[in-house]
Amino acid sequence: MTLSKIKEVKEFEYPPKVTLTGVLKGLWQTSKLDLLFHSLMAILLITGLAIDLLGGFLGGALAPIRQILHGYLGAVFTIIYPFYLIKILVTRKTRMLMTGINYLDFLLYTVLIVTGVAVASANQIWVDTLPWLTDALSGLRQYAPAIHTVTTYVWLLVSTLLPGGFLHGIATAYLISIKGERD
Amino acid sequence: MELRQHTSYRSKESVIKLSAQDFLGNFTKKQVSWMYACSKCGECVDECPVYQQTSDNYTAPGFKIKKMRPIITKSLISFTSMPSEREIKNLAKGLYECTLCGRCVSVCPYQYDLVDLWEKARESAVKIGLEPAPIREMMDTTFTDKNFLKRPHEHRTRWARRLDVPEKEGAETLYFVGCVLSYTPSLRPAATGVTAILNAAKEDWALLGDEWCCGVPLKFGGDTERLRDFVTHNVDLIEASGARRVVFSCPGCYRMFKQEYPKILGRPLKFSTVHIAELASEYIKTGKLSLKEKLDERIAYHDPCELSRLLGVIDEPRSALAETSTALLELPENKINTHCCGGGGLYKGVDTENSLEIATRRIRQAETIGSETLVSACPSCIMNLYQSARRAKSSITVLDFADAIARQIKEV
Amino acid sequence: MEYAVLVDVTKCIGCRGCQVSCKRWNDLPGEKTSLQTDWTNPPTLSYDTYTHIQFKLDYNQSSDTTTWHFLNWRCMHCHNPACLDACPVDAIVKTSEGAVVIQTEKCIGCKYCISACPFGIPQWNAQLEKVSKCHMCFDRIHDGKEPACVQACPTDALEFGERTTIIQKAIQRKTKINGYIYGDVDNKPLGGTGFIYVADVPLQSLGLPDVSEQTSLDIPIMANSKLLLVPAVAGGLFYLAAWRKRRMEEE
Repeated sequence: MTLSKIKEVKEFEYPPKVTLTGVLKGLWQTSKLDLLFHSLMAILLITGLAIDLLGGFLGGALAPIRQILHGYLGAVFTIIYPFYLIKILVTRKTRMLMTGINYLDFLLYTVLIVTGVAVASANQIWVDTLPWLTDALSGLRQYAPAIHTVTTYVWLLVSTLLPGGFLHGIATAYLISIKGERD
Repeated sequence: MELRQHTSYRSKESVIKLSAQDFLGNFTKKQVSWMYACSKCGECVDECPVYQQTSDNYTAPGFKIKKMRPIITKSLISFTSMPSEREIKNLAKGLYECTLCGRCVSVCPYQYDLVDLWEKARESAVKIGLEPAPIREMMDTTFTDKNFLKRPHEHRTRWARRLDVPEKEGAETLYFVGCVLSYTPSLRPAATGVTAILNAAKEDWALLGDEWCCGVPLKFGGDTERLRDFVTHNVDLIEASGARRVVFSCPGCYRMFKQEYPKILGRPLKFSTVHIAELASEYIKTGKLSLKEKLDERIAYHDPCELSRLLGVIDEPRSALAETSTALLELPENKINTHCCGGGGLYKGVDTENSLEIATRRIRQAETIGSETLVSACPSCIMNLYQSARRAKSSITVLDFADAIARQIKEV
Repeated sequence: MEYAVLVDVTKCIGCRGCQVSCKRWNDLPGEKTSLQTDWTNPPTLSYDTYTHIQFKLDYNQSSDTTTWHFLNWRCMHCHNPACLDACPVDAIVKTSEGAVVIQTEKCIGCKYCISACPFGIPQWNAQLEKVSKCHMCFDRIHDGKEPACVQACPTDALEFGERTTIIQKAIQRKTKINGYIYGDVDNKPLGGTGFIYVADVPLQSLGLPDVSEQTSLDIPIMANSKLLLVPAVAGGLFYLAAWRKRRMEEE
């Protein structure tokens, strides 16, 4: 018999309704790390796309968005990502459900993180404190912006078609819109 | 579809020709969306009572979704690959290695209706002939004998012989017994208990007359084509009799009537439905039923999945039982978190051994909290818990709810 | 009219007048530096240092002779600037006079230009989170003046003029001293630069890198990668269509 920590569900109604607040509550109760990961990823994706697609229109107004929402949150994402990934890989129940596209997603996120850090490596503050990291990334620095941007679009393409995380998001949004009821 | 091969999985001759359009072809937008919306969090895996017992991936809910997803993707866009035939057979087998207890639904952060998903998938498995042989048998006998236990239909009311069961027309309340209680002698106290309760409360009641199986074995088995015949037969009979209320012993029948019958008929029922636990609780509260002095006994109540998690009837059995004994104890994993007894979803017919092993967990939990008696309000639960307690040589007494209440009725 | 600047390395005496006048015209603060074994000061370009003279000392042991070269280092104002292509907010422009200018108010600090420039010119300010570089005194040349550094140069090592004229002068000078040209004619980094260098030794030996005429492929790939959204959206719509079609057949 597999030992498992018994999950205490606080409230339940059958047939269940899939609502946005219900989903957020459920995610919060299930895995705060997962919720953090997804929130950060959503913000990073949206801000990154805003910069690349709307940069010509919004110009300097994007500076704080790039600096704080994409830059600093990107740094937070970089720190929590290894914990998130390791947790998934060492837990049997999640490892069991991973498919090829998930591993591809993880690889692409890793590329995004490494290239993102390489691009950020002009920043004096952490360059002074972690010079070895800057040195290690210096070889990558020239191509890092291109790889970072291209990888984002490749991920979007792959994640929609294969089907991957993006289609997952769309399907969840659809189910919330019909409250999981209509048949 | 004429691909009906009623051979056991262990047979080597069964060769099923599968095409992407056939298997899971009955999935609607809702089920298709679930395939992709699943976030692979794995909560359902660890909490599944069958997976906890077997550690076989194919019994884990999330894993079944993982295996079903490429089938759906392939049917949407042709350049993706299908799982192999062997994987599909394992998947179909895994679909029936499930008690439909709904635990996966309650722990899913998105609260997807997975029970609906499994039932739909089983329907599709039946269409291409991949249901297990015991399930096929149960469904076939339901068609012919109006019960899934392969017993003669004429013997359905034999349990009531020599009992004080009113034989009349036009009663206000009808008692729907269900197949298990009608045909299982060892469980007879449950039905006689209901009889005693209804009589003591001076209820205007009767049996149905020509009661047919409520249809749950067909729904859970997946052969839903002729389900409507059973629904219309029972409903016509009840509505023609003028009864205003039907009381149930079996939560499976109860939920079938309450949640599924209106959907299948396309209209609300013209009568109300109630479980004996709710009715008895009401009788006790309103004084229609007087009980003897409380027994000095430590009893624990096991919430049947169908009754508690899927129907929300949680407090009534407790309030009634609290009047029968001085110590009503709570098991761990109770109420909406109740741990399945292993007897639901026709799983007992698929893997009797594991089904009883799952019940043993409950027996052990009852022992651990120090209870002497384990009460439940579902014939399947009672049967599984009772057989498991005997096998495990436990000193726990397994009692049906109605029986427990009936024993405490004060003769006035 | 497009302008260019001829940088004659053989005429430079390392007086650093160009450094000082650049700071004065652009109101740039001085930098605190420390003693180095090198005369180049400040040792590197920075957000507040658009140009400096690199002191290149070459001591020949066998002949016991010392040769000095003073290389004026700054933005090359390329014809096809890699920084301009890389900037996602179009903060970098090339004026009609040929100056490549970073519009600071538009800069979002993404550092793509830093990575893209093969000369490593754009400089990062960690406090402001912005980038800057020499802008060829675009405001002066627009009004018909020379850049501040050119005006200050006492030896005319820096000469400003119409581009084709400058290139002709470069060729004449190169022939006269039997030297080398960098920036157009022999090498055309990124399609040719706005600062044309002439020296008596190959400019590569003085530290000017070999840069191809075309922008490195990663920049246009990056700029156009958003086109992948087209198949992504198309794929999504296809899924939607296939789903709808399938559901219609069912119902």
